[in-house]
Amino acid sequence: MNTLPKVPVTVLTGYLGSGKTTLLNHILTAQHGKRIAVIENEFGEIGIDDALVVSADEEVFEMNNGCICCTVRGDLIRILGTLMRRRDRFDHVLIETTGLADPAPVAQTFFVDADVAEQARLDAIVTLVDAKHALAHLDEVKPAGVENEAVEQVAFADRIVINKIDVVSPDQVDAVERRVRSINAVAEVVRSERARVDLDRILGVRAFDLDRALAVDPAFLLDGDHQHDRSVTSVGVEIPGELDGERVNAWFSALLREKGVDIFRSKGILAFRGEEKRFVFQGVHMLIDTASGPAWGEGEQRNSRMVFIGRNLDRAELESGLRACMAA
Amino acid sequence: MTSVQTPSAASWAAELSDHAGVVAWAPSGEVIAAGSMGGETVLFDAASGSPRARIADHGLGVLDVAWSPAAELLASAGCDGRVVVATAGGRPVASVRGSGEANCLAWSPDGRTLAAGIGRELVLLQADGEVVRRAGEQPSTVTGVAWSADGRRVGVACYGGVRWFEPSRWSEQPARVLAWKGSLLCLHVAPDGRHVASGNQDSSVHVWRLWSGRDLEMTGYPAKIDRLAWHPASRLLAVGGAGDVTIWNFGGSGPEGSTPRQIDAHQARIAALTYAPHGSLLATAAADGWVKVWGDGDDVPEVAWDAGAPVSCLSWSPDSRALVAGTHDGRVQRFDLW
Repeated sequence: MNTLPKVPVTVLTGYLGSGKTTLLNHILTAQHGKRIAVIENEFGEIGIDDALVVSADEEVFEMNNGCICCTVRGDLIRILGTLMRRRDRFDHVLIETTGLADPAPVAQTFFVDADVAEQARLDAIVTLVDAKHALAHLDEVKPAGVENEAVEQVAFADRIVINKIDVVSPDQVDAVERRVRSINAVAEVVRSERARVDLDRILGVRAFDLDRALAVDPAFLLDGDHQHDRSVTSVGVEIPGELDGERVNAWFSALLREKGVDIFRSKGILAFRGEEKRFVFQGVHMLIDTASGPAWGEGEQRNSRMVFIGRNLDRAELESGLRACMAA
Repeated sequence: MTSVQTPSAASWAAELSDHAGVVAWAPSGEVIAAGSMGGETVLFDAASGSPRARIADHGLGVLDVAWSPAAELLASAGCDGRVVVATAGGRPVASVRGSGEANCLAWSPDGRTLAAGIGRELVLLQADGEVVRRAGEQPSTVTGVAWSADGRRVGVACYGGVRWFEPSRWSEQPARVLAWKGSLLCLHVAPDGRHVASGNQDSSVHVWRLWSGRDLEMTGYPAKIDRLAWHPASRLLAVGGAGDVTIWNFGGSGPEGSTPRQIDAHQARIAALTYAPHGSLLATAAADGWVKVWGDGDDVPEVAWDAGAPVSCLSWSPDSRALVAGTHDGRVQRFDLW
């Protein structure tokens, strides 16, 4: 009896002053005909009278599931549960996080809570950065053990909106784009003035759908411009041929066990020996979603690709690890 | 299900403006309270189903309703952060507001004090509506409240365990904490007062012996647990799972090391689970649209009704002879067993 379509949820992150509220107001006033609910964490300058705005207090819980970085947002589970029970289920839900929030607990909530996963789907994480201050925030050196939230927010993003491009020089915007790409080479970058973004580029993008797990331009995989001195980076690995499923499983499990805290996002599309179909996955830290993808064509060259975004990633190690999983 | 008695229809059906989230049959037997995600709490005549009074509007939805044991007063809590108390005739007596959602309610056994979880705060009200105690800044939103059987302590379920407060020797710091690392979703004290059980986000049930603090945990469920029910004689604890119900036996040497009775009850997650006030009948309901009543032994329901829509909540009549069910399409239906 529960066959209602899942409601897409967009997570809006960004450092203080990056323009999240302006973007929310832009989305709510745009003529898109969608009924949108907003779950906001920073008390509201959302000036739209008939918008449904729910205030939430970030409640981040650790899960007792042996996964040290597995945290979820208890407040979101409750609020989404309430919204999804209404007859006028919304066409879209926007979750605004605080400027200092780690996006992981929001994303992991969709992996961990079966009720949420049954009724809503994470559409994309959209991160705003302020063209004027982004470099200062991203390069700020934090004390040991303290996260640079601005870097994390860029690393987690599916879409990065470089906002306020009208207040800086074009060169500065280019520099910001180069810097965010050095962290997250996978996300699509959008530029905006006063958060005026073409909404089709940030809403309804299905970034967490497994059938889009690797609609990624593989060009960056070979990018020689890789910045080794940056602690949070993107690494792509591609190898031709077929993999041994059991070996991959053992290697990947061990990798997540040891490095799951440092691997923010991962995606991949793999060719397993003896399988007609592609194997696709995507994950947040240690939580991984998998599925069978489209079948390989007759005589098609099989290959496997993986993308990681995270801290202290070692490209050579990842490449040799995956290579060791080649089917004999 | 040929052996199942399937009565053709509900005795009556009433309507709310949206998804019926909570129902509660008054201890007097004469009135039924129901709350909807449209925000309204309505009192219905239990015999006819005709609406008597609309007692509150909670904005985005009603989250809990509770009758005082003497049936004189109904408390209603919702997304607007308010708790409203009204008489069975629908006359408002009191209203209190907090910050965050008002999630849960529990009257003290003597009916004189109402405990409410509003956001991260425990609020205690007297029956006349006067707020007598507030304990804010719990570690998380309060997801469950329950009184000890003697009424001396009230427990608050939140992240990190159960925190017990003593209204008569008040302190904003809990008198006792039954700590456990995890996010608790509901709290139920056994009628005999010897155990308290919580359902948890990490797919487990935690049970503490009161007041030794000895505890045990049931794990391995496929999803979070937020539906529990104690048997009226405190002998059994029923746990609602992904479609099955597991029943742990607390008689004899207790559930440790024992195998629970398992009922394959529904084709959807258990949405409601409640023992009849008398006897041993257990009622269950789910989004598969069925309301079922289970006896002590058989794994075939004694009675099953098709509610015609996904079911979200249930409440027994005080004489254990009828049930009221709320459905996703906003209907409230009465089903009579015999």
